[in-house]
Amino acid sequence: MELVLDRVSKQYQNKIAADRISVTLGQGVVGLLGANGAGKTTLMRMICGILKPTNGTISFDGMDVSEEMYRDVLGYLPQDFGYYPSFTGRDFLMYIAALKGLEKNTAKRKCDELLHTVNLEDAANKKIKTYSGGMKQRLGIAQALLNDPKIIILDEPTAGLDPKERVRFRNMIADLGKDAVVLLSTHIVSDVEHIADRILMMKDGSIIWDGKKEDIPENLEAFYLREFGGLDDE
Amino acid sequence: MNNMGTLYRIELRKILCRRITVVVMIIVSLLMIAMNIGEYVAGSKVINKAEQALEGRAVNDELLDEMRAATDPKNVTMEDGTRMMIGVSVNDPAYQPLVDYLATIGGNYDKAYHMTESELEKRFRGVISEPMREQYLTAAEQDYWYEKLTDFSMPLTYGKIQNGWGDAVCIVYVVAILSMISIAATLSGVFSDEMQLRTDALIFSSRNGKRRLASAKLLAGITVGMLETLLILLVCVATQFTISGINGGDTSVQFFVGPTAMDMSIRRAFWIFAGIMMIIGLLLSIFAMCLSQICRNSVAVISVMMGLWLISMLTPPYSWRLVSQACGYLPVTFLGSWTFSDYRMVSIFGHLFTIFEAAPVLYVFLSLLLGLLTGVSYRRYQVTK
Repeated sequence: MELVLDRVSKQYQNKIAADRISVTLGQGVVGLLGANGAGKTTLMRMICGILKPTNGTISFDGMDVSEEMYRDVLGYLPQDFGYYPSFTGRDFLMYIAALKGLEKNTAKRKCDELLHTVNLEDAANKKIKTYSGGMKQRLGIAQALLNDPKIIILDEPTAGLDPKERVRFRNMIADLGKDAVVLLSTHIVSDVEHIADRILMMKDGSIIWDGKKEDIPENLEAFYLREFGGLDDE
Repeated sequence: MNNMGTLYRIELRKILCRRITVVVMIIVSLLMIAMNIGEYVAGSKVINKAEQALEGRAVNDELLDEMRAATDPKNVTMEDGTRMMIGVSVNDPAYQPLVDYLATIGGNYDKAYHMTESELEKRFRGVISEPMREQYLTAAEQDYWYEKLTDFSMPLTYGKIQNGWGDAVCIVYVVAILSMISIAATLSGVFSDEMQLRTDALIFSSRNGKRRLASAKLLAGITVGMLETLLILLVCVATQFTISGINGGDTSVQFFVGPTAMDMSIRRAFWIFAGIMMIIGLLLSIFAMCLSQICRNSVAVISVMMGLWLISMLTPPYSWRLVSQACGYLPVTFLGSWTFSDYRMVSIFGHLFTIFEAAPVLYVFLSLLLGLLTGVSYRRYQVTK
């Protein structure tokens, strides 16, 4: 189970959003840290096949990112999670299940299961426009997991969740990492510290640090701030 | 699984649940009701039973003699002592539409009053020949129409100017405008809404999101667009038949659209118009969705479609042959009486096709092309926002 990025670049007119990124991600949770505009979302979009790299290739176990088979094993929660306000939570999940190619009975079973997992059973038949920010975010996480994905891309998944929910989801993401490649982008350093097996740090479209938590000689937040120039060297 | 059925049903639901769809359908329905009731109240649709007396009769010398007997000429004496007919007074209202029609063919009421069957035929052919000269027809086109004229069956079958079939033909022009408005509003968001709601990222990262969803969206949009067109057509036509009666179907189309070499019964003209209207519904639906994909903004889609409608009202001079002919095919203004006097033809591999033969084929071809363009643009779309 390997997600391989080989010299992946993305250039917009006069800005390089991703600069020759080469990295191989295996099973487990990989935390992606970086300041706003570092290129995290661009990188994630390219991994999800919704943004074409200017150069380079992305593949998972030999499947190219542009193939249908690749998308079949992909689960994605975008940073700005879009939804249909007039749909109920259940309708929305059933729609995404149809998009993911799930058979009707399997889709129903998976929807019920995930609505329970994300604690939305009671609100399943209410319109999404009545949901709070946290509920929408939980629905977003549920839709990403509908097809039992092998590649899970989560862009700020815990944003908008209350502390209790955040801890619950952190643990859930750690569990997902046992069977899949999970790439988790967040600003919350403690989330990454608790669950990531590996950490990538991005700055100006490049990966400036790639290593394990154990390789960091101090606490992650201090290290992160030092790497990004937010903390003076002492 | 490709789940086409499920995706199609959900796309239908998305279109029908848009607030603007409901609002526009209510407005269009109110417009149709107001328009028809207004016409009826204004009296233009009140059936004149007397006019039905001549229906179905051949316009021959016998009928022309009867017309003269029922008509008093209005003469004035000129300064030089000559007498000139300035109009007629029709004693029997049944003959009024015939007198008016003959005045159009003859050029004035004097000619209309003295018209004979052979003179009518001669003048009729002359009247048709005139636009043929004006329209810069090629030699091959002229040959086609003059040959057609030799086959022309005279005398014409007379029909009351106002009858259900005739009114149904005339209302198709309004149907086209109302369909365009409702299709523009309802289908403007089929693709652009995904970008505005930011659901595009979820869709494009899913297995069926790139190819099958585009097909499901196009199919759902075509279903809604064509159903809207059919519904508007049925309501408008049913209202005309209810008010004017279902009679006069065999009447020559000449009495409704003016002299034309494309002679046919008004019933046949209606079915041609209705058929082409449904194809226009298809074309407008796909056009609206194509714009929705390319413009990525519902308001822009509606604006472009309204703009094209306004442009289609312009009539470039015949001397700009290609532009002028192309404008004649613009769908919203296509289904009018003027189309019967457009003799410019389309040549494909040496075969000439009249406007009524070429338009449906052209519209279907354009629909396929726009559908393809929509699909390609959709698959190439990248999420950047």
